[in-house]
Amino acid sequence: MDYTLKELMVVAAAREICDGEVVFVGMRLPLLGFAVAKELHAPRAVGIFENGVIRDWPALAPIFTMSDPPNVSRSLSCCGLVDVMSLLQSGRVDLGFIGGAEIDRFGNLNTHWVEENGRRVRLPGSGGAADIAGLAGRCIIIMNHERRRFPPKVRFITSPGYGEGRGWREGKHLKGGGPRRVITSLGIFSFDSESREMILSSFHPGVSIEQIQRETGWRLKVAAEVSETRSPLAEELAAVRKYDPKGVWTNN
Amino acid sequence: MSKICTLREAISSIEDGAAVAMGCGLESLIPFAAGYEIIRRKKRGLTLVAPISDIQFDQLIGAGSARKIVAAWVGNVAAGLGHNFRRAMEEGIPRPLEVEEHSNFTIALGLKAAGMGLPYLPTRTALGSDFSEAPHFRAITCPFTGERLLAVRAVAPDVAILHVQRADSEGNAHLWGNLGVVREAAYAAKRVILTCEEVVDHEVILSDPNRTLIPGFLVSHVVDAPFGSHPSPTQGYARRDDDFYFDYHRQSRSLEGFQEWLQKWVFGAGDHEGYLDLLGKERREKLKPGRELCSPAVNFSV
Amino acid sequence: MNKVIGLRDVREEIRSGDTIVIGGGGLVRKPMALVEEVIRAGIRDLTVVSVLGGPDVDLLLGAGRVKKLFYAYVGFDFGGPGPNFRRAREENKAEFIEGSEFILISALEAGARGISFMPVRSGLGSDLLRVNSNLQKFVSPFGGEKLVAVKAIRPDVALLHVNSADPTGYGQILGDWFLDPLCAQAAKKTIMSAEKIVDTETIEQRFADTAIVKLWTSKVVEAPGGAGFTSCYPDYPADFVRLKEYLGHARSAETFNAYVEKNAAGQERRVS
Repeated sequence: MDYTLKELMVVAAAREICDGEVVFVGMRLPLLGFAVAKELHAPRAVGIFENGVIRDWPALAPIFTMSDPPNVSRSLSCCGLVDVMSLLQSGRVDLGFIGGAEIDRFGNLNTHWVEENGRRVRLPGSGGAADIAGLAGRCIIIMNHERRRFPPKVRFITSPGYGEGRGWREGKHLKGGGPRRVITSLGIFSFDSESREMILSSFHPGVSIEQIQRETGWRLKVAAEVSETRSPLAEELAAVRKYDPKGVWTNN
Repeated sequence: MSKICTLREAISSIEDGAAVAMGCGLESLIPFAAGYEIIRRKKRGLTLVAPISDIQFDQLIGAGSARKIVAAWVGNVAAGLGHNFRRAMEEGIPRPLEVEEHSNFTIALGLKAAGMGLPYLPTRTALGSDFSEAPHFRAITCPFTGERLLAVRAVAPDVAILHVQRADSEGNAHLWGNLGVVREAAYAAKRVILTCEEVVDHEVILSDPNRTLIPGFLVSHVVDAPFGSHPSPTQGYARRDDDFYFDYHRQSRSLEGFQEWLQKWVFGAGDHEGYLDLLGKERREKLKPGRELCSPAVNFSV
Repeated sequence: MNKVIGLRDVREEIRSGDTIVIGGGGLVRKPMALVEEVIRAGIRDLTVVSVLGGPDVDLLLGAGRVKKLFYAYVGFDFGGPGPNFRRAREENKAEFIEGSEFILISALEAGARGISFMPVRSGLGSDLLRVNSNLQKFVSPFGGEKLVAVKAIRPDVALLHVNSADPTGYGQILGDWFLDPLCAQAAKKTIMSAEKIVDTETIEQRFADTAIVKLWTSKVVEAPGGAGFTSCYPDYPADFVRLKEYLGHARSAETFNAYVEKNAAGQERRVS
């Protein structure tokens, strides 16, 4: 393979963004994914950051946080958190990216408390993730795929997915569409339109379905048309490397 | 009336047990110099309020200044978990910590409610999130549509500490770049302490009133503190010092490491000037922004 | 994406029966060219939302195009209340929903922020609560205080006039923004006229003046003098000669009908 796993994940994230969409971007891999999508197939997409930055173009230089000066300079608008969150709440954000420490089979995410070797571990909390999960038109979740991160049911729902399955989001009066895709370090998942359970739709090159099952805490559902994740095209890789020339985010 | 004073005077005005909003720009404009002075002045029992204050809350928790956190996220944005936050939550070290859990949107609405003089604001967010079961949230039914909504209780800090680009001696402040919840916090708090990159003439403020986001009558103290947001960035004045965050993450992994870090950067430095000396001229130069990117003057002619 | 259309194309964007909100304030930066085009196109039965109404709302009322008006004020500042407004209000020519500025702002704010109501303290103790069913007493879930809940308004169309705009829909306002950004955010569609259309580069270089972000804009119309006879700082002040002329004609319904025929409905707008 002439690309890294993270590069594959960035490209998978970029492919989720359609032209003209309003995207709640987030940091790390989705930030790069947004840059790649803008460069290649979604030049009219608009990026929104929870600190209040609205951008038409990727940051002017590599950044570690959304508030770094290169992400503020030459942005379209600098407003406040309530303003951009209101765009979410009023249904004007098509797509949001989030991540988490734990995910369960209905796409619920936990970033509050986990257990490691019988010991409670405190994580940072929601940030904007609960807002994006509840209110964005659709959500893309990016995760490292390890068994401890994929329990059948999360201990604490920070960012709601489909809760306990079909009808749960409606019962909670959640306005956003919920998770559409989970991009992990092993494969890509969709959600069953009936049961709302996660379904494996592709496995990354060099990864077997058995391996994914081993790293998943419940009996995996596999799509009938499951296939290998499409490798990045040359132009996609070039775009990733243009925005992460030193591989800060994409070196394995 | 001039409100200019030293950082020490400004921070001394904060009482033990106060609720303090700080780090309201999210990852930029974090008033780190003020946070270090809070630690030096050995303030105790504070409630810290902000959505995400990068490592500032972790530092104050580790130093034993905080009793309670009202926040959406506590950690180290670039490096991951906050070690002091973990120690406090998991083991009560250096003291137990209470957390009023929020999402970014709900804490912003809590501040906005207080700034508007209201006991709450309604929202659609956080429905279905387990933290919204807490008593600072209430499920309500819209009197017009019958929809289920979430009421977020007002969050009213005693004081907001805000770092801005420039202010006059009365505390009228210009700031630019992403605003996070700076305005909401300034209006929600009973008073505001400003630290700023530059103290400017009142004329400069009057030249661009749209940029005056904090009117001086909300402000009690103005502190001239260039680089006062270090290691966080201030648009046009300072870049983010990424290495500082990674070093902090490594050193604060153990309690002893954190104590050493504190000894060096907070107590050892003595004050903000000492801290800048410790940082060194070369490092400070590197953190100054590159070529100017100015917008043309705004015409306010009559 | 190029959102520029001609003034005449505005009629394709608004339908009779729509709810519209209009930017500007009093005698300042009212989108008069757009309002006149609405009249010329024969659009009627409008629900109009106006926080700081001036000649815009008065003209629509005088031309008989308003079915329902949510308002806090309709007037000509020192010129007194709008004459057509007064006549229509006194003769109940439309449904009038009484509010205050903050009540209307809160209704639009709720609409813009995607929430069905906003709590306020305004209106407590006033008869507004008796006559406006969009206001309800609502007990705060914290502290049990009785406040007022204001029902959200989400207009179909916002009409705005700005100093400059680019084809993608950025709008820059050099004077007071009033509630224009809020109107644009609350409405499903925003039609913005501008003194001049500039390129995006020009907009980007001074983003401090960018009141309207392109996310909120549907169509852009180039209309120099498009706020006249209200002012558009710093491009021009209010034209008090034309204003006096208007007030003179508006003294009676008959003389105003003739004025509307001649100045608004009859012909293409004079572009200065």
